[in-house]
Amino acid sequence: MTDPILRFENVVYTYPDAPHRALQGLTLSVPRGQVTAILGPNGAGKTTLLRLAYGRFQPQAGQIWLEDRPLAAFSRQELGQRVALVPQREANPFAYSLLEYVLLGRAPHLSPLQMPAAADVEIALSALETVGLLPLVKRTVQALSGGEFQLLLVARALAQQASLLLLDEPTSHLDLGNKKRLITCLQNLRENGTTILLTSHEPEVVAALADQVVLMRGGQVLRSGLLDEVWQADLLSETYGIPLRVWKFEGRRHLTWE
Amino acid sequence: MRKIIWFSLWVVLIVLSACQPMNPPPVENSAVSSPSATPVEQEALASPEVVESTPTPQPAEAKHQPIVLTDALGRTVTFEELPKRVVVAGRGVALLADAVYLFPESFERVVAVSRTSQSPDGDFLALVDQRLPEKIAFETNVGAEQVVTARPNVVLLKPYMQEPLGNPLEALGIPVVYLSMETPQEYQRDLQTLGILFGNSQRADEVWAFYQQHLDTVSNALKDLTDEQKPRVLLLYYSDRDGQVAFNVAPKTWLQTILTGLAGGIPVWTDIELGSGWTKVNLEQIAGWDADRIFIIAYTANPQQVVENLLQDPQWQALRAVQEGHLYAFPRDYYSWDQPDPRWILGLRYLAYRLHPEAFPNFDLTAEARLFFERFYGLDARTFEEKILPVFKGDFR
Amino acid sequence: MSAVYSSSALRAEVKSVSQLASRRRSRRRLLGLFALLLVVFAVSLFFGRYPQVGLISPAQLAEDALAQRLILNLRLPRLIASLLIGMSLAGAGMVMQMVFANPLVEPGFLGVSQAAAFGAAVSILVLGGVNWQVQISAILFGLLGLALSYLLARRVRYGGWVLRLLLAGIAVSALFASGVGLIKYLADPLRQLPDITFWLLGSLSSITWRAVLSVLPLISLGLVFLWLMRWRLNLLALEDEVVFSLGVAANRERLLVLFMAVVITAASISISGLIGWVGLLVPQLARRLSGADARDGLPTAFLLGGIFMILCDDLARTLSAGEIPLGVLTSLLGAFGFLILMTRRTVKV
Repeated sequence: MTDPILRFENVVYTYPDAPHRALQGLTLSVPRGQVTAILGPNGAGKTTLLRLAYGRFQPQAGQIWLEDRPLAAFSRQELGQRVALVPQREANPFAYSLLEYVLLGRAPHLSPLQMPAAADVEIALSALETVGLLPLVKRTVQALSGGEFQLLLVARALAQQASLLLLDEPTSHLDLGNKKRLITCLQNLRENGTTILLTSHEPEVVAALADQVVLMRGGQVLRSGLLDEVWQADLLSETYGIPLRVWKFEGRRHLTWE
Repeated sequence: MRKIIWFSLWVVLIVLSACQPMNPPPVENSAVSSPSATPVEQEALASPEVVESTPTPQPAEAKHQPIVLTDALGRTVTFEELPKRVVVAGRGVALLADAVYLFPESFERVVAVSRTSQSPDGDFLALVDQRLPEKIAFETNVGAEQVVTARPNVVLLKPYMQEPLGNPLEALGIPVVYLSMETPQEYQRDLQTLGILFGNSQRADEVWAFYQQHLDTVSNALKDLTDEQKPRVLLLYYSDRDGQVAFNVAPKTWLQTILTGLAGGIPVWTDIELGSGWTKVNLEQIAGWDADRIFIIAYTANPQQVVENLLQDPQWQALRAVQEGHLYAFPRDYYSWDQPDPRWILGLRYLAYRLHPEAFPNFDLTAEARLFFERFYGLDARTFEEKILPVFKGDFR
Repeated sequence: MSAVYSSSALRAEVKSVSQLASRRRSRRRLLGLFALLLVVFAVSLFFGRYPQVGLISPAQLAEDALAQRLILNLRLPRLIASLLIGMSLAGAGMVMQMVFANPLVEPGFLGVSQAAAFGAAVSILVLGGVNWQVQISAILFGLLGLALSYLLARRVRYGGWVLRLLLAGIAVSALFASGVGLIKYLADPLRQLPDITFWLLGSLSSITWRAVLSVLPLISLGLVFLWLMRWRLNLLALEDEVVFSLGVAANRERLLVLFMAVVITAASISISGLIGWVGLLVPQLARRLSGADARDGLPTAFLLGGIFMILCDDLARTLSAGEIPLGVLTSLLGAFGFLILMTRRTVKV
């Protein structure tokens, strides 16, 4: 078991003016170099977990450790250099070029008054190449399809050169073709040693990608462990609150509801 | 790059379109005066001469002493010689121009005037100065650059135009003289200034003597009046801007208030908070004052018409002054007689007569007006009958 | 984290084509605009109504002392003021449109314009309209408008940060606008009201060196600061989640940038009166010209704003025998130019 890059210890979080807790006593650890997936229904607290992971909010109780240091000890900029987020959706009001958009990912390594240099452009181009968008580099952001745009967001996160990549429900609004594309990209990244933490409410996507799985429901961890350990009908049914059936076909894991 | 070329073409198009001359070329004088005037050494002076051909040395004239005057803002302004090109510019100069034209030299020397749209009855100045249509007419919100095109030797301004217009003009080395002429004392003082400016102090004395004579007539007739005998007077300026009807009263320092006092009345509006300009008052306040005499002043509307409308208004019919028949329309011809225009003396005579008719038994307003226009503007009886009398509005009996 | 390179030939080609070419192209564009600005500035010095409508020739100029004084003491400060104001309003507009990620906002909108107008109107009504008093009053009230919008936004419990500021800005603007209406009602129709109206329409006719120098340091500082932040603006336009994860203290930087934008706007308004539309339209034109990246967009907006304002002011003082209010001209020309560019082709901004 590789040492964890990120650790949650009894983390409690309540949104301001919210009647109940979003996360209650959450404990989990994210190992280095692997894909960890947080699986759970809507409202389980997955997005909240991510937000705490990159320091957007501070927990009311409990501790979060990043690379064996308390998360709160990092400055905003240091966090940006270590943790990169790929949001689920993003509005893009202006017609940037792909390169310009990915270049924004270099921000954590630049001071507020600094301009990106040639080295930063190199890194941005590499990121584009890694996700396979380099042939489209002359287009503007608004000419991309939904799936291509998601890949672009991944490229931007890669340009951050962070040790931990966070993805918030990356495939939830993509069609099958684009889902496949994104999953393939993430698999490639995993091959190259990138640590990935993603949330999803789609079990089959998780099954295709994850090494470690954390089942969440109602702000708590039901079970966490290797994919094989966790992929059980009873555990998954408890997570989703409806009866489910798991089965294997040609080496692939599947799941249907009763 | 192509987009920039298009943009530049558009820019050039606009610039070229503005190069078309917009105004008729200025009057002959300035067309002839060469721009190659002798450059002036000193800061406060400017003297491009009206030269027919090549600059020749100035023929030796009587005046070699510099002309010094003090203007309404207490500034001392010096001229090497009498200014030959006088410009009256900026806001509020309609009435000022009337005063400037009291001097016959102005026909020759005034080359440009800012025109307001104050008088709906026509152009009084054009009546006085036959050549006015050929002269340059500025807007009221003219800028220094436009004024300069008239090549003035001096610019006459109202004091509140110092920042917008006076300072920029002085930065160009053009002398500026501020004339206030808002009260009788200022009239006396500024007439002297104009006299010096035009080299005709005699005329200034003459004009002021006329004023003084009337002032004395009034004060003598009223000198034994006690305060109880003085009627309570309300002077209201009626405005209907943008369809909004409003009645306004003047500040304590303004001519309207001063005239009321001089005419033997008590201005009732001085007890409220007055601003530095006209203050709106509503009907409640008007009723509260319960004045003995109410006068309606209107600058663009017909005051007589306004009075007649008010007489139909039940709210106004409830006022004591209206019931007793003491609602009057303040007389006006091209300009109303209550304002800081040379006509104010007529306004004073009228007001004094209206408030104390028994003190002025032989008063004939029309005759006094005829005399006024003849003495002040050189308008003969025929012009008076044809051009001015028909324009009279208000309380004439 | 290592990256896998496919054919390095592909990489090299793409890099040289897209990256180098575009920086060079944008640099050339900016240089071209700068040259245009210099030309417009120089020509405008010679352009006016004296001694005849149009251009004065150097020969005429050499002989006419009055014309020399005119150019040095009147036209030069006025042109510099136009330049500063054009750059400020356009730059502030670009900044606001980026920070609010909304191409429909303009610099005065966070209550600044209306509050400054209110300050000027109060000064004219109460203090008699002395120039420097009006100026200071306008700046102070402009900043007060911003402060009120900010404080109000913190209390609104509805929507995200941007929406809250938008709502607060609208409310504060409405508040001060009604204040201006009240003052116009109270003002003396013969003297104060024309003053107020003229100020509300914007004009540079009484600009002197003193006025220009009084705002020069503040505006220069603001412009330089915003220019340095030009790339960062792209970031500030993104959503909060992402900006945070990119290691940027979003709200702090946004507020700082907005504050500088508002300061230069208020300073500009204080010497020129209200001038609208420039901050709304010039950034749009700039983006059409330079692309969406604020690294090019902001300098382009500066230059275009300067050129535009100088041209408008040229027309304001030359077209007729009086001064045409500047705000009227900027709206007219701005809207006209915008229409032309909008109908040429559909380009997303």
